Amino acid sequence: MLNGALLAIEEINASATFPFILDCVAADPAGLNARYADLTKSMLTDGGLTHVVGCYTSSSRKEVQPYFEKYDGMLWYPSHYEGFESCENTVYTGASPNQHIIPLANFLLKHHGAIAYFIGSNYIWAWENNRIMREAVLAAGGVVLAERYAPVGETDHSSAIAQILALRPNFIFNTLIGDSAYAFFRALRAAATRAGIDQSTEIPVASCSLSEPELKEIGPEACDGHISSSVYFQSIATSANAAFIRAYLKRFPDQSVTSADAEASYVAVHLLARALRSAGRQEITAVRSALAHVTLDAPQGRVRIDSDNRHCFLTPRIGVSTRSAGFDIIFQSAQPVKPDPYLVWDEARVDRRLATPGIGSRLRVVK
Amino acid sequence: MIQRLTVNFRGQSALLMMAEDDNTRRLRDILEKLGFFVSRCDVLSEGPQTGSAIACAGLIIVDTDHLENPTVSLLAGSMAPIIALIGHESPSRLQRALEVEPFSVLMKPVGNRGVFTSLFFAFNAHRRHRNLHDELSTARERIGSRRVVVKAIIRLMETEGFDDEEAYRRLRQESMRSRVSVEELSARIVARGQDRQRNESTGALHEDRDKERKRK
Repeated sequence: MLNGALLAIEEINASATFPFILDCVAADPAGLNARYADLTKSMLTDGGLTHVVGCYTSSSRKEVQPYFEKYDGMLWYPSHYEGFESCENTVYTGASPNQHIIPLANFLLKHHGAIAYFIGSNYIWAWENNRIMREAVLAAGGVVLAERYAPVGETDHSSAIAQILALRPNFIFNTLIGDSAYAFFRALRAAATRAGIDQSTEIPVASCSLSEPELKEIGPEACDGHISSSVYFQSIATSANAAFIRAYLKRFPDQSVTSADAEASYVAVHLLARALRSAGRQEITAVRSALAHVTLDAPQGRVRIDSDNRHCFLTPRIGVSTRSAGFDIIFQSAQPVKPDPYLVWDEARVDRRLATPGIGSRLRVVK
Repeated sequence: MIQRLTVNFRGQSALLMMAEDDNTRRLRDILEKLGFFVSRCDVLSEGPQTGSAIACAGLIIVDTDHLENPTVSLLAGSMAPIIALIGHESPSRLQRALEVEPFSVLMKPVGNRGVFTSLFFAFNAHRRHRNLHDELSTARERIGSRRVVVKAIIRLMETEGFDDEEAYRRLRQESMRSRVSVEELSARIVARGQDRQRNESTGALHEDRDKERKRK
């Protein structure tokens, strides 16, 4: 994420079309929520900053938002998240639920069936994503066999994996994060192979977050055949993406892949710079009214901000991971999709005819 | 029974009972983005038009800072969930707000934060309340008709020679078969004269007994 933002800052500072230089102050809260709050407060007060790009988890975002409201700053939040928020002091450049969970639900119900198994890390992002996915599965007449949560960081998933192999769901919806997820992918693949099951075709794992660097973390033995819903994959074949990958790998030679998170923070800084240019000053009211007019030809395609809710029009895609730690894109939305953080409009779009009929039709109470 | 929660408000109608000001404009804007159809009337209006607006609304948000008695009585008949929009946190005003039985509150000034939560509680707590209300009415009716059920059981014991357990089991069976409540069926049995009851109303019970014999 930091890399994506740094690359964008350097591009803007090198460009003659921006009549200013972005001065970057970086701080590392080391994943501790309390540090997020302290650092934000000092950036917005002592530091005199107005615009901050950052936060990955929803818990860290919730931690800092009160300070942005109090000191009238703008948080540029470059991560996909679970929705149900539209803070006046936040611009959201990652995917809203209608841009990644709903397309994933439709894809799974259409191609894999409606018998689901949920496993996730025990926090807000997983809970809310599971709620949305469960609604979609039930609406299609399907069943959720189990919904299990592991503490963040937990790497022993043996009892869940035993249950999965016994129950044989059509797919697993995974909302585990970080090391916990990588351990799960490896252990599931190993256990399935021992049981003579071709895991990636018989019990595929679908995620809303899986990215190229994470495939590398999982390792070559178990990184292929996983379904991921994302607005960005490195394999997007556009000239804008080719230029982004070239610049990124040149600037960060120790990195071998780009990712949705790198792209989202890259997009955030570019949108910020365009909003500043359009507003003519950094003061937040001016920048907020400039948001509606800002567009960017991003690596993922055309991105613009919906001034209704300060989320972005983004292009949903579904990828299947490969052994070489990349993704084959097997679905792509025809055009950027309007963000719908409260699922006011997109809930109904889960296609109820997609699912295999006859399974788990809901019981009616008669007496 | 599992209750599905309301988290999507698309197509609902919201009636704002408040003056047109910045709060109202912000609130209308947020509600429309959440899919509501929004209308507004003044908090002090009380004509028949206001009555019908209240009757049609799927949600009412009322500015309780300016609430007076006539509006309180109008709102008392509402079937829709009510949200109190509160500015003054003084006990006298809060007491007035409580009189319209709101299911949640919104604080002034209205911002994005809190509106969805307030709607969530208004709709879902209101439904829970209505369900409890319905259950209470049913329970009251049941208690009221216990005497007649007892009478019907005694009658069946006398006329058919069942013990009380069997008589009650037959009553329940027949009530399910004919899709009327046990209370209703009991009332019918009791209402019929003893002679007619032998021939008609327990006919079904005899049939059941015959069927069972055949199965055996």
